Amino acid sequence: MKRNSSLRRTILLIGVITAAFLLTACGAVSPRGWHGLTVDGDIVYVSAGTGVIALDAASGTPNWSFGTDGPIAPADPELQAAQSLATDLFTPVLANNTGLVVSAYSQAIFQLTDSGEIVWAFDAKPDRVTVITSSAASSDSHVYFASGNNLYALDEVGDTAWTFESDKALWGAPLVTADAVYQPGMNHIMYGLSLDGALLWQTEALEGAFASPPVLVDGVLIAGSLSDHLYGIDPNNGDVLWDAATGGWAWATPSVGPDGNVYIGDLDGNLYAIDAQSGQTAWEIQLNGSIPSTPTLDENILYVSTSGGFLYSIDIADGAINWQVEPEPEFDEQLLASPVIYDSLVIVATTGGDQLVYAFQKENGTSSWIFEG
Amino acid sequence: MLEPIIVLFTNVLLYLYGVLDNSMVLALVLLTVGVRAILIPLSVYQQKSQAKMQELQPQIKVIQEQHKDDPQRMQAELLAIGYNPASMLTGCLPLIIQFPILISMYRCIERAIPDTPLRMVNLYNTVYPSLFDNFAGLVPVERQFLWMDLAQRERLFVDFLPWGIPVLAILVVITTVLQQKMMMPNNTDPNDQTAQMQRSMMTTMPIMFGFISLQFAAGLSIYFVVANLVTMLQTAVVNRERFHWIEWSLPGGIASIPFPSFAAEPKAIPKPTKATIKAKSSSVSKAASDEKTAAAAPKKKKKKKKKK
Repeated sequence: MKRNSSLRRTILLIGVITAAFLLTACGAVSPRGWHGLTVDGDIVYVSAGTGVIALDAASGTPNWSFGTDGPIAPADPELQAAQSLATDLFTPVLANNTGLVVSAYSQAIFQLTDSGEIVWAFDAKPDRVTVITSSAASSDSHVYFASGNNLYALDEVGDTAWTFESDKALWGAPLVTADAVYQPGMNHIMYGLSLDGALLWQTEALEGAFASPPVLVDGVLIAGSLSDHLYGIDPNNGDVLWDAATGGWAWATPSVGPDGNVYIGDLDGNLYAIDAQSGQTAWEIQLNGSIPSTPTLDENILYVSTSGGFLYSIDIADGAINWQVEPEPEFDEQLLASPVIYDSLVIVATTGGDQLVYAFQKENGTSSWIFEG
Repeated sequence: MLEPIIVLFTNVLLYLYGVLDNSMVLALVLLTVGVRAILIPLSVYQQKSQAKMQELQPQIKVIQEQHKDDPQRMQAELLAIGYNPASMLTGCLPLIIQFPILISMYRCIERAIPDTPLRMVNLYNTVYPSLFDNFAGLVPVERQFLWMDLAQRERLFVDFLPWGIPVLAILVVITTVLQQKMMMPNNTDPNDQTAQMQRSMMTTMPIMFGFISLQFAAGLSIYFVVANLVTMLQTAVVNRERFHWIEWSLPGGIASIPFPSFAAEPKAIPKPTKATIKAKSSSVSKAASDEKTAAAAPKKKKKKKKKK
């Protein structure tokens, strides 16, 4: 009987361990986005999971934070409730007048003051739209965000001004200019809209899905895609002007240089300098890890972060690497968000790392400060 | 540890998705059937082992009662009628193997149907480029099926209800109950430990899988439903000679309905004679003698329990 009861205990134990393993493994939802940075004046804003943290850019000292763990509770009960929706925040963008606009995977958009108080919150859940997958965009009069198949334009108090519906998902935020709104579509189509949301033109379905905002350079709309193509598009009618081949998916929004080139990385780790008018490749180099974010340009130097955990300083003239640094070689961290520049510092956020934010000297890559998060 | 399986599942799922004209639901169904097909030898063994246990249950019970004070003799007699406790563990093996497969399926669905930029990067780094002529053409992976977003929790919203109905979770619970009921003996003896365990499983397993379906992506619930249906079909085929109808009393005594059962009927095996025991137990005498010392201890414990 002892053997039988021991056997039963063993079976029970195996069952419990297996069930615990199952629940733990399934319960741990993998990260949905990456931490993003925005700098404004002397403050660098970090989106970190369920909150936004405002750091002193010179020292890395936190000033305030917003989100479920933040100390600032809005007086309005509705806004207080809205704050609980702040999960998986994307990179904050600067609002047109003051403060920040932050979008959350949990279908909420917030406008914050520059001290972290909520001005308004837009809860998309009552509309039963699906998740939000990117940062918002801000213009003089509106805030724009994509969710599900729709592009939403909100007015200055967070009410819906207009929406535009596509036949498939819209992931990326639009590029908003004085004349038009350019919306990337996951259905491989780029849309040109008027400022009140009317469709002006659309491209044919191209090779890859568009998941990031395009840039407008001297009359050419340039867009990376989830394919081995970077496109130059006529912003007046959607005609494809040129098509530059890349080694891997050229996902990110390109960075615009003073020399007429745009700079973009791909998910195979290649960095390209491409002529904005002709689509001709000026130079390309191979870096360590995927490059899903926009390279940051400052004084003819590109700062590029990679999923391999490296930050690079690269000369735009010929693609020569000035220095490279791996903030956490002992951890499996990734640098997925674009770096930001403050004074003599280049600042990066990690995804999955031990520390949240690192600041390095632009000149030589030596560490200046670290924020643990 | 499970990464190679997750990568394999993800590539197969996306390949099927491309072949099946970008239908993620059909691809999920085919992958599930394929995975269950690979597990058929194990699950057939498990079902046969379970049926054997059901058949022997009356004899096991008699032997345990008769020789409760003589564990060594009990062990020998149990072995003599063909009951080997170690086979119980082997019988659980398919069940245990299902858990890592379940986790891999969950991760595979999360990765193959990316709904965020980071997951899209992970997908890009997961696919075997040589397997796909035009992987970019498969993106975005179609996530919508009827009212469901396969990458999100499933709820059906209707105008007259303020909340969504978890249709898939309900289907998961129903199919799990039906699948278990097909192999459950119609045993009403409240003291039968095996029946107790099966009744307990019939309560806990549907609740557990139903809870998981409530919390996680709709694609995983589709896997559960299809896997349950495949298991039911397999049970009916493998145990077809045991088919009989039983009366199933629904909870709360609402009704009693006829239900197809493939559980083994307990057999009245003749009580083993001393000669057969001697003959059969000789092959296991060494094992029995090894356990002689260990067998003495529970005897004392048993007595203590009795006092309590």
